[in-house]
Amino acid sequence: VGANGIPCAIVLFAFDGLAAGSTPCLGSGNYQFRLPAIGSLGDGNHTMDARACDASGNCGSASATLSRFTDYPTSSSDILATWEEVDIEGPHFLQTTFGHVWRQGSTATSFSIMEVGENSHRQMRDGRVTLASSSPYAPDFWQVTITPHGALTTTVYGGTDCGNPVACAINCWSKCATASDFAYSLSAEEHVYGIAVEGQTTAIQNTSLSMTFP
Amino acid sequence: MTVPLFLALVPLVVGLAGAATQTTADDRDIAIVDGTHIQHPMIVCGLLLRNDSQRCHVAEQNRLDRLITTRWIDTAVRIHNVTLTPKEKEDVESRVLENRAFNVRAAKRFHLLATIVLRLREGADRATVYADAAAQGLTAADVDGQADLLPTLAIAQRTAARDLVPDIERATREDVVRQAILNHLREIVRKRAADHGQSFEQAAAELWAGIAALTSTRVLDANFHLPDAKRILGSS
Repeated sequence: VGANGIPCAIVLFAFDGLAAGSTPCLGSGNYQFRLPAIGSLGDGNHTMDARACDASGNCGSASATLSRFTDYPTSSSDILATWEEVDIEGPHFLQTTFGHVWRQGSTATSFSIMEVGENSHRQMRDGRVTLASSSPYAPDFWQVTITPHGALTTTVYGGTDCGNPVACAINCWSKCATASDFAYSLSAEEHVYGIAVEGQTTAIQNTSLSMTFP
Repeated sequence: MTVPLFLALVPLVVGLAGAATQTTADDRDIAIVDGTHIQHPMIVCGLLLRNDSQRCHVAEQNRLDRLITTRWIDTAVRIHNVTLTPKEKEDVESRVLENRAFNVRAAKRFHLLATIVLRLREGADRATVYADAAAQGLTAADVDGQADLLPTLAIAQRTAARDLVPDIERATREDVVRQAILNHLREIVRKRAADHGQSFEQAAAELWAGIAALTSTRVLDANFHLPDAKRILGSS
């Protein structure tokens, strides 16, 4: 009921200034409207407006914001690899160290009002794993998986060949995976395996990295 | 006198067949560096990639690159009198200590594979050997790959009888020494680039072109090419 005593007739919703639906007024004062898919919203502030109007067109309004912010933290280690090569007298051992960097994007979403469940708190985004070598050895073959934990769905992402970071144009090899899982409390694990050098399988160590997203 | 066409074709067909046999021979020369011939068996890709001709070829080119660049680096070390500093020598031994646990684990795995392959070479039942390997966490592909590296009974016996830790520690030393040498060579190239007003990449390309000429490096098989000089020292 408005200040002039005329009962509320309709509540109009807008998202980022565009009409997003309406509903007749309810006694409870709790209303729902459909947001665009949160995963499709870009970084920055998004506004949610509600206007309650009576039959005479007198309105009152309230607004809230939804904020999105994407960052790309990195985690790194050195992978030690040993393998054998054919020699007339028997296998000859070789060893090298590959630099190993995992860059994982994630988007934080926060509301100026309460979000029931907070399931959209963190969203996994693109991940890229790069191996780098400062010796003459190149990995002919390698695989990587990225596994989110705490998400609504459990998916293991396999990386596929992709471009290298700008800072590493030479002697780098990258694989990327695109994820979009939402979670209240998100962490993820990355695992490199199956490195072959010069066509030989390797024994490797320090092949996993993990990250926790606040 | 005219020769019937089918008679004229016979020697030609025989000739081509002979040529084909020769060019597909496995011991063909791929490249020559500093008077040393690099033959195909020296770069042949491992069993892991042998069924994938594209990836196998990339692996063979990588190995050729490494064999050639190793020679080039050795030559550069000689020409520029590169020696390790006492600190770098200490670092080599520190790294061996640091890698000790990994090297022991790796040696254990490769030794286990060698003993399994030895059983195969001694004529043990293949299915039983694979089952025993699986019980120890090794796949058939692991065993087959190792069998490829131990092609005779004598080699399998020698490898299975050896303690492989010292071999892997030698590989650690070689890797750390090579890293230190490459750092010295990067410094030489940086200085040369500054002296001649060149970029690091230009100076590096000139260094390796000079060494390729000095070592008379040539690739003899058209399916392969010289190493990309940019990759040896990376970018500045």
